[in-house]
Amino acid sequence: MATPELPAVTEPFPIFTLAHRYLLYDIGTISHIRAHHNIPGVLIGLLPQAPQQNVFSGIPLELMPEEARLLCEKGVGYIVDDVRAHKQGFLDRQMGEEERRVLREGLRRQGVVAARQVEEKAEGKKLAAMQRRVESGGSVENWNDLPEDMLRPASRAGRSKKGKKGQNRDSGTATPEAGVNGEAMKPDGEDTMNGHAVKPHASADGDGDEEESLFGSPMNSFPARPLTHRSQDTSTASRRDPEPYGITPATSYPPLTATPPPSRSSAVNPTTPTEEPATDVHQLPDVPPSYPLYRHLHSEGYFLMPGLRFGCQYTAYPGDPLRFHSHFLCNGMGWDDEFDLLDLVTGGRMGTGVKKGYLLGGIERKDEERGGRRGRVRKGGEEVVDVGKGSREKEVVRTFCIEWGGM
Amino acid sequence: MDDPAPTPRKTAPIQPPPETSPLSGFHQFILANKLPKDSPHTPHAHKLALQVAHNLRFQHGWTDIRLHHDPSRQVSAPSPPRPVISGLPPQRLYMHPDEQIDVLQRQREQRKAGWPDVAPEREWVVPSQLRESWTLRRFAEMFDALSAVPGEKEGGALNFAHSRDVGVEGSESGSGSSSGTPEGAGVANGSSTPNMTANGPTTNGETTTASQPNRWRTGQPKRMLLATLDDDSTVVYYIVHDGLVKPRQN
Repeated sequence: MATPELPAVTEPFPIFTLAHRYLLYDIGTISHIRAHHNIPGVLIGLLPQAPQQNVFSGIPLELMPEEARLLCEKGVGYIVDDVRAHKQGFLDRQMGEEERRVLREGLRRQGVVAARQVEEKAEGKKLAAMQRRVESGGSVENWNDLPEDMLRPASRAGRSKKGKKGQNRDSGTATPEAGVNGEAMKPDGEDTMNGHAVKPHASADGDGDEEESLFGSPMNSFPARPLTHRSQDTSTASRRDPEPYGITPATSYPPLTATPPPSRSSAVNPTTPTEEPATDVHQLPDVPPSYPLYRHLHSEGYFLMPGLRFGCQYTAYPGDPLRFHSHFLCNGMGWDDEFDLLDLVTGGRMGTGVKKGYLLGGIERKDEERGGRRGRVRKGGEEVVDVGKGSREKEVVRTFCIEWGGM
Repeated sequence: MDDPAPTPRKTAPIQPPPETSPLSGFHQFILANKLPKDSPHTPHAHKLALQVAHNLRFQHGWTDIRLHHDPSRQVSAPSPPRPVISGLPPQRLYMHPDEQIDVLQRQREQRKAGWPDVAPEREWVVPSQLRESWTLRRFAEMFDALSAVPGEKEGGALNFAHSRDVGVEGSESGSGSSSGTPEGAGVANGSSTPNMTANGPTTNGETTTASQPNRWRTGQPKRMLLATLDDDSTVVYYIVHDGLVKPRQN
């Protein structure tokens, strides 16, 4: 699942809590927990231009409290209070001059890389389009005539590339200066249009399968010696960096440092103020009373997603939700919590209607504990915080699946 | 309403044709199957079970319906908190999706088309009333008291002799012809005399279920059919499994 470009995630990783939500900003972590910990979470990032569009949301990823709790209990994640971390990291402790400079320089470098990538891609496209035009027209006399095959499929483009290259160069030599001058002066819009950052391999990439741009560069500014000239330039790339793109970092954790908990027992001694948030680690996320069911199903290999759309607490998927339909609509409850049969009928109907089972479950309490029934329920609800730490071994979650009888 | 009335009327409706009886078929059924004296259950639980059994018999065509006051043969298991019904549905009620795949695979190997002929299986039916509230503990207690598969001869057969309701298939006329069965009242529960086993259409299925229980069933968690009765005598049936069982893709 994780693509090779993503950096490896080091566990434990920080889970940021903000306004009682648990968020992940790093795409590497997000795909890591999905691939290795069966936790999909919910992407909640919307496009500012299309806030109504919620089908393809992006980062950040919101974790249910149960998910955050589970990751913390497994010891692969820890909670960082984002607000406090920022206050302490940026306000209490002013960033040093050197620190800022390093950060800005890093951002600028990222922006340059991004700009160069975009430029190269545009260049490749444009070159491919021009190549096709040249090939199809042969020795074109009037460049204002639209080549008739501009709308032809690209597969025919590379057919006779070798033979036509000489013509290409000949016809192009008319205005060699335009390209050279532009590139030497400054990287403005005209400049990028003329394709200065073409590297030797860019043309090779471009003439193949790149989608073609109908509006290539103006014909009279066709770069004359793209291959020979460029190779010298690219060797000294720093000289002609394109205008760096403005990079807005998605996370403030290069400047800030989130430190994992030193250990479970010892309290943190904050050497620097940014390490202060690590104290939050010891407080596990509060979870609803259905958490034991969540953990049980998760340990059975199910992926759990929020269940509001089916009127339940969780929907359980037998594998990645992108590949599987869910099997169960789950509701967790205490062993002695009373429920209406009408709820069960409703859930069973709903589940069967969408080809799922309705699942109830809770921690099984044996008969000897039966005495203070009411009190135990109440206590179970409050004690939920330390559920799973002490009595993990003896607690057994028992589940019941309900389907419509079909009669 | 069950205690004083039955004794004088019990004998009366047997001899004349039932049309002349002032009691409804269902009432006669109630009267014919009284709560045994040694039963640990309350009369209303018994009545509830009877009503569900009646619905199973005459609305859904179940056969060989038996009432279990203490269905667990193993000593360790506790007795269930209420009487439980077992019966044989006209068709297979539940088929696990994996078994379905298996059956279809076998059908393909045998180059057969159409609906696979699977024998019906005896099912546990737990009666409940809509106004009850349940807990997970009660589900667990119920499952702990039930065996995986209801035994063929366990419990007591119910006496449907006097109830001739609408919507009954041919088997009912057969048992109706012998409506003068004197043991009708005495049979009630706990008697081993099976009243409903003589039904024609499903006998072939019964033999297979009796001989070897389906391995798919014994390999899976226990299941029961939760019958919920409402005041308007509607009964809805839900299959409840004692564990994680993936849903059917019906």
